[in-house]
Amino acid sequence: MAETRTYNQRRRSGQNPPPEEKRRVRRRYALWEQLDLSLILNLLIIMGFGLLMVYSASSYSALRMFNDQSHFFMRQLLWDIVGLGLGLVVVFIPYVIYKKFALVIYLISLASIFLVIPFGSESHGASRWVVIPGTKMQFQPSEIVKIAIILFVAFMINRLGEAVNTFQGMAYVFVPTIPAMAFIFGLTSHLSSALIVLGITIMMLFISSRDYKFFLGVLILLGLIAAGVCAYVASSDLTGGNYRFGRIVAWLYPELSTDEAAHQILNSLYAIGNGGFWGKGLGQSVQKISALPEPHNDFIFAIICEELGAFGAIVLVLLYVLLLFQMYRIARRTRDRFGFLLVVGVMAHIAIQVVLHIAVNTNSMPNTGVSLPFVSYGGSSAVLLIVEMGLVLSVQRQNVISESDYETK
Amino acid sequence: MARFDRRNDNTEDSGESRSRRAFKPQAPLRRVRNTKLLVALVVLLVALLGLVVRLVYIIQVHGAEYQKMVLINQAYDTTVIPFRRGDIVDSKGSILASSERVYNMVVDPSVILTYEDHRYYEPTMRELGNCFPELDMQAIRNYISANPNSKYYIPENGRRLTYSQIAAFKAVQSENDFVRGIYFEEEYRRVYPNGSLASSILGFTTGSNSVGGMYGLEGFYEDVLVGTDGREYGYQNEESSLERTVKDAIDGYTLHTTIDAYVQAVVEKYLKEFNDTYKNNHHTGNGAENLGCVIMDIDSGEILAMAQYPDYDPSDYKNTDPLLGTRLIEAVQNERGYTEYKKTDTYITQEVLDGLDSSQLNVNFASLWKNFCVSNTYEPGSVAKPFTVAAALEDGSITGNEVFTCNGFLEVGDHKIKCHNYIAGGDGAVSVQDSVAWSCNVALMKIGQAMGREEFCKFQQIFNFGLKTNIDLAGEARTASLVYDSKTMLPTDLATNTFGQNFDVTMIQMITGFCSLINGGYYYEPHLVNKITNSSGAVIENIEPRLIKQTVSESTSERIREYCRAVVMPEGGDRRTGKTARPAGYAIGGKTGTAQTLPRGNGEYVVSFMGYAPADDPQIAIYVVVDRPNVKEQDDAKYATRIVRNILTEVLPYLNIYMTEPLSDAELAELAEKQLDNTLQFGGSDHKVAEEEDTPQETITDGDIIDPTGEKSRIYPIWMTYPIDPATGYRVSPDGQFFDAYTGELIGGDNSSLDDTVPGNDNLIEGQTDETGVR
Repeated sequence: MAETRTYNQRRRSGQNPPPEEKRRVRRRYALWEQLDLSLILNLLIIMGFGLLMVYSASSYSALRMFNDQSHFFMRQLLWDIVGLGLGLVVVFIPYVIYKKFALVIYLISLASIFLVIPFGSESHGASRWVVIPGTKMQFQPSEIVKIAIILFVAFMINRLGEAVNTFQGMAYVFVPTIPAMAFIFGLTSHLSSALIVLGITIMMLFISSRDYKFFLGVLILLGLIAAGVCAYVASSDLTGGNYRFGRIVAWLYPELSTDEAAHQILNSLYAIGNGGFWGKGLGQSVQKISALPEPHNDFIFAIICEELGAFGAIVLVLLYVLLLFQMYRIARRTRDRFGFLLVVGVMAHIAIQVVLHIAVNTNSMPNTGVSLPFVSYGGSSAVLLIVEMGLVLSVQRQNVISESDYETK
Repeated sequence: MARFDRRNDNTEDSGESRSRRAFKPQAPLRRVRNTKLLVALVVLLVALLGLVVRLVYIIQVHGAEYQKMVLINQAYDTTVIPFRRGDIVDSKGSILASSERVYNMVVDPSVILTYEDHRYYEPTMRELGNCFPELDMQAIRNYISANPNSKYYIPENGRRLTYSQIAAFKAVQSENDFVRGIYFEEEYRRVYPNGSLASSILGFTTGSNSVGGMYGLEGFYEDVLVGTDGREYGYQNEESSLERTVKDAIDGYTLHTTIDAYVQAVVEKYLKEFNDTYKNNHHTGNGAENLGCVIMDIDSGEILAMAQYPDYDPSDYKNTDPLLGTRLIEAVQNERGYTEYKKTDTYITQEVLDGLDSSQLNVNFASLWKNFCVSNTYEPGSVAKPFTVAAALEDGSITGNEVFTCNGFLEVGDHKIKCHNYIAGGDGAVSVQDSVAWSCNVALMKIGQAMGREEFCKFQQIFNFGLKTNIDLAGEARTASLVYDSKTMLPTDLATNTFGQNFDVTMIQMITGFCSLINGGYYYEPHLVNKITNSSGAVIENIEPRLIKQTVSESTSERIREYCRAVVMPEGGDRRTGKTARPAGYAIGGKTGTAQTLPRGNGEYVVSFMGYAPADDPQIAIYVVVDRPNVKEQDDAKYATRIVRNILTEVLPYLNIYMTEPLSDAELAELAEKQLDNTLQFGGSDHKVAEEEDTPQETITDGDIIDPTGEKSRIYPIWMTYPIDPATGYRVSPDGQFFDAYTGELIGGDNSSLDDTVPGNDNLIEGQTDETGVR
């Protein structure tokens, strides 16, 4: 009887198989065992939901601008498929090799920012896209920088080892981040991307260092500065002020400001109010028609709130929480420090964007364009975020493989 | 999956312990990193929770307010589907007032400038300039460059375009994809296809999209004629499957009036003819201050025609031409601080008009626009005599067999009240019939004295003098304060009231009361609308004749018919006053009136004739008032009777009323001249009779009266102008209605004419106007 049962059957019944059989069977992990299927399922649900909402939110403007109501939807579908293809490739590439290429990728990403100077496509007063010459395709270099920073900061922290706990070590970690931020903000005026890059770096550093006090101090300091700016703006003459302060004015007093940013925020709030708890129903948004610019992008959460209500929005937030928790589980399980840092970086990236996007949409912070991961319209963002998820799955796959290797020794 | 979990736990535990052995320095760092990862996760979850709380807070606290803002914004973004104001049609279904669809051009710069290269801009501007040469393209370009984010701009000259005007551009728009950002908003424009016909009945509309009815039926039935605007939420693109809720407009209801456009046109023709004859005759100005005529169905209170001169074109009601020749009215501040409107002695000429400011102009317009027949009050004069006689008969004060003696005057109190033939020494012996037929004031005063003021005033009330008749027209006057009651009445008041002086009435009060005297005592509420239908033709309301009360008994009514007949017909003797009112071929009854105006002795009179026809079977009542004719000697009722005669000569045959009287050669010639020979089919005997001594021409005594003959425009009923459809044998109107070829009876439903949803239908209506020549 015992001979006819498989290794797994015996394991389940608590029997310890003989060592030689153990070695033979454990090497063979089915593909589905190497991948975190629940994570993939969750990701696909969020992406499907995103496609649905992109279609719903963009169909009117698509019809008006391109005479084709599925214009944005079809492009997003295409980029999602491209992203899934690339992500699948990344899953099967051992992530260790990125240690070798981290610097190169980082430098390439920095260089790509400079492409906006000759090949930039201007929109809303800033060149954020690079048009690939000879094609109609364009991409957002800041999205590439985000993944490059995750790779390079992970590489640096891993390299620094215990030195990351020293002040000097911490300073080193910011060496790649500062120029990335400077170029993004300086060349593309994309403040939110610069802040996201900074946020990713700080979060990776926080988790990999022993220190709490320093980060708490930094947090308090940043809070004080923010409060100071707000107090200054609130007390100063509202008619003056530059572009950034204008946004803060728009945040604090959206009803008073004539700024375009305030107009967006107000209409976002109107959309949320209009949706109520249960929403107007899918496709029934009114604000997407003309009140909210690019409703399928930086304000898609408001449209979700309007159409599906607070209920739909909370369901979506719970899906993100589940996604974060799934990545948290993978990170905990990862022994390798570089792999761990990669997962943390991706987690930080997604979490920060989700929080910022919802915060902007609910006017919890000044208006700055942040897309909602896997939901907002945008090819570069969609492809690179899925590739990042491929990285996470790649780490998970290595975990499974290395655990088996480890145990067979 | 269970296996994974268990293995995780195993490896985690064993991993910790082993790693602590194998990589001792790193082990604490790993534990720290997992803890800190959890801390970071918790921080993120708290942040997300905070945002969810914020979301719920927004909905809970500001939800209602924001929802309202969305609705406000939505209203801005949506298209209004205008309702169509209901039509007004005459009793035969001919359109008197209609609404025509027009288009307002809307320029949407935000669409035109959609792309950075402005690829739609030049093509759109070029095609706009080509298709609409009257547009100021530079102004549009300036607006677009100044307001690139605007979504709504109606350029000058871009309003109220007809479909034919925009058709060319629409064709270009559907062919050329680069012509964008121009769309057309629909609106309705009120049209009165017959020009000034029935203007005093119809009134006009002042607002855009034909709301804001003023005066006449438009004012009175405003709430019936207006509908409810519809709304299209969101999209302009009709092919869009995403089209949002469309709430259709509810069109206004159609009024089916009792007016007969043909009768109305005949009446207006002769009022105008009178004016043309006497214009600038004695002094500059119109032929009379006011001319009014009402024709009423005697057994139902339905108004067949109601006209006045001067009239106006309701499509162009601010045109000052109709004011020319009227007396200038001035607003005067009286000593108590109230504004009074006083007629001056000036007659309006173009020079006077140029000197008026807009408020002075509006005062005069208000007088022009109001309906003389229901809004103006005046002393009726002798047309009140049948009422006095009827009242006396009814209460038994007289039997009808009395004979009065007229010496030309009667002393009442300290006053010596004269009869009309005071100079000749009076009428002598006057029977009750003669008192009406000859219009003897003395006899009437004696009848009044026999009644006493209590009874007289009671009957004034029974005849509804002073009170509104509740006719369905805006602006009816109430003259209760101008009528005596028994407490305030003095003997002289009673005396003058018996022959219609010293109290004020409106035309509609008089003719409504008169109908009841003639028809057996039945007082019907006068009305103009007998049916209200919705836009698809379904009947919303049928308005039946409304019997209010019985004023006199049938026997009294019979006596009054007899007396009134004597006013016109030969049995009244040579001294009868109304013989000139008799139309060729018919016997009619009636009463003339020549009323002095205030101040007495100014030589100004309101002359009138109130009659019924035919005499043996009364069907219609007619009342014509000539307010101060433009002649030297105004006190001659013939100014009114001749109008009555002319009108009835054409109207009675048209109403299929058979002729009962023999025709003289002169009358035959007159009918031939009026192209009314065919009316003989309605029963006129064609055998020649001897010339009566009192042919109309001979009775005209005033030397300054020009015989109103000459070329007259021929007026046919509207249906007679329609071509006969060979297939059905019916006459077919341009809007597709069928009429009986010989009687003009409308065949089948008339709904098709009311449905004006087909763009360009307005042309048909205009064409109809031209063909009929009814203006």
